[in-house]
Amino acid sequence: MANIMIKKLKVAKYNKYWALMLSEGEIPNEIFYTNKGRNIIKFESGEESIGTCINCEKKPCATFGQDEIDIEILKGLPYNTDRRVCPSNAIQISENCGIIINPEMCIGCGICISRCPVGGIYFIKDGTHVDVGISSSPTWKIIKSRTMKNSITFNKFKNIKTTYSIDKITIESARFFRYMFLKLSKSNSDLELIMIRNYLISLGVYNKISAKGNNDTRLDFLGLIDNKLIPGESELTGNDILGLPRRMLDDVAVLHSRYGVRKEDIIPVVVIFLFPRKRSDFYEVMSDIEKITGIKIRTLTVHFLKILTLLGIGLSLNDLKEYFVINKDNQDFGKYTKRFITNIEKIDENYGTDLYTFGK
Amino acid sequence: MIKKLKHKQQQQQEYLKHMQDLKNLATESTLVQFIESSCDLYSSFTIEFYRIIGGILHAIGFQNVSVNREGDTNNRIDAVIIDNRRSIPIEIKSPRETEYINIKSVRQALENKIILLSRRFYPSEKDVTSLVVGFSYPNDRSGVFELIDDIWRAYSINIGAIDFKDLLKLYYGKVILEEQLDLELIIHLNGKYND
Repeated sequence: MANIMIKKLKVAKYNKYWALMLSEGEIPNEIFYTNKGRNIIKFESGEESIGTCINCEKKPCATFGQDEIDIEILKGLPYNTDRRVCPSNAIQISENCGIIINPEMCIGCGICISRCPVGGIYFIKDGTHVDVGISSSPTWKIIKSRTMKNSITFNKFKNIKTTYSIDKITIESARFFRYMFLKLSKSNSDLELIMIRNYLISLGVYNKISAKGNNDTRLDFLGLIDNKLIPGESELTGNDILGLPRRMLDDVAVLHSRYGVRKEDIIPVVVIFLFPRKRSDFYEVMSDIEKITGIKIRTLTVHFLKILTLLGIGLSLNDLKEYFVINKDNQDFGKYTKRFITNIEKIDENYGTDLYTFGK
Repeated sequence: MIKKLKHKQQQQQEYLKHMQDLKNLATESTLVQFIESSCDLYSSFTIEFYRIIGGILHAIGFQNVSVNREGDTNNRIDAVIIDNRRSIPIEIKSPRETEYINIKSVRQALENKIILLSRRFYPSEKDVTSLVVGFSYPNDRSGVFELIDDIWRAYSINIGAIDFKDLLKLYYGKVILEEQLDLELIIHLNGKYND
């Protein structure tokens, strides 16, 4: 690990173009992510350093850009314009110190980690909460690109090679994630939908979630990929999973009837935390719906979304078209998980348990 | 076992008493009085309300009406008008649950119809309605009837909504005034009854 002494840095607010360098001309070429402690930045020279918050200007870990939230789907559809990244409001912005993460409020969703372009946010060792890396001897030098040769912009940095070493997502950390979600969702009414929206954005599915207090539009969320609409409903507290297929049928009917969307251009998705027990009517109703209406509802779990986000894997239109149909004859979500993460058993010891499906 | 049997017998006796009370009330009253008194009488009922709805549907001419047993979570359809060709699933909302027919009950009625057509535990046809019975119709801004239209356009499935007062009118017409009712209006109902 490099041991470099640089004075404490602050990013000027007007500094539109900036670059990160270990020293002049030395460019980072890889971020090595882990879910067990701080991330590592590797430089062209072979030197390494730990990921550290650089108090960057835009703070993508805390706030989405306007263009990421205000997307054009069904003109006039009211939606929640809240641009926060942290669904549980654990991230606070401090003008001098970058960001601060409140461990009491952190549910460990990991969305902020995926948004930080310099690997500055990391999972603490037990994998439950995240924290922000702050170095007392800052590693980074921030230089205006206009004044530097070979400098790189924010976006270029974002696109450097990323390597993920996510292993042993323990049952305790998975349970803690759900426990914290259930605890905090009681006092944070839009935690559920903000979390789902943000996961989907991280995976490349731009979407809108329903506006608070809007009873006219009953969709929980509405995504768009390549002119296909992805209406969605979620039930993460587990109170009304049997209501999900019904709500989905309602959404598809409204999109088709009022907005003239062809049913072939609709890919309905429901998001859950845990699958219901094997004998639940949920699976049979999904089969009934497909048989009678031809509507195939996809089911995604939050845990799956989290792992994809941590591994930087996106979801394409084709993925949503082809996979994730769960019903009476097909209750194994694990086979879909394996398509995306071939070594899932190694990185997640919960594989095959109730987080994905009820049995191996 | 014996306890269960006794409970069932007791429920049956209560049901017969309710239906006799309803008939007596109709016999002794004008239509307006009958509706007012019945609404007052049954506005706080839940389980009994389901059976009374079943009894009224039977009285107006549907020969075989099966009301789901209390606590039977395997069968989520509240009641079924059983027919050898055109069975009708019924979603019932008692006044204790909700006074007005709502979006949730329409969604449930759609699911009821899909389940019936798919699993075929009673024979039905696609153009036969799936009924929602509630204490009162919702107001125009509820979105209930728009959703029924949406469902028809998207899935070609009829959802019919009928409230307790309209059912009482049908009952009074059939039992007291001995009118001939056109049950086809209910069998193929889409949207509000008598709209």
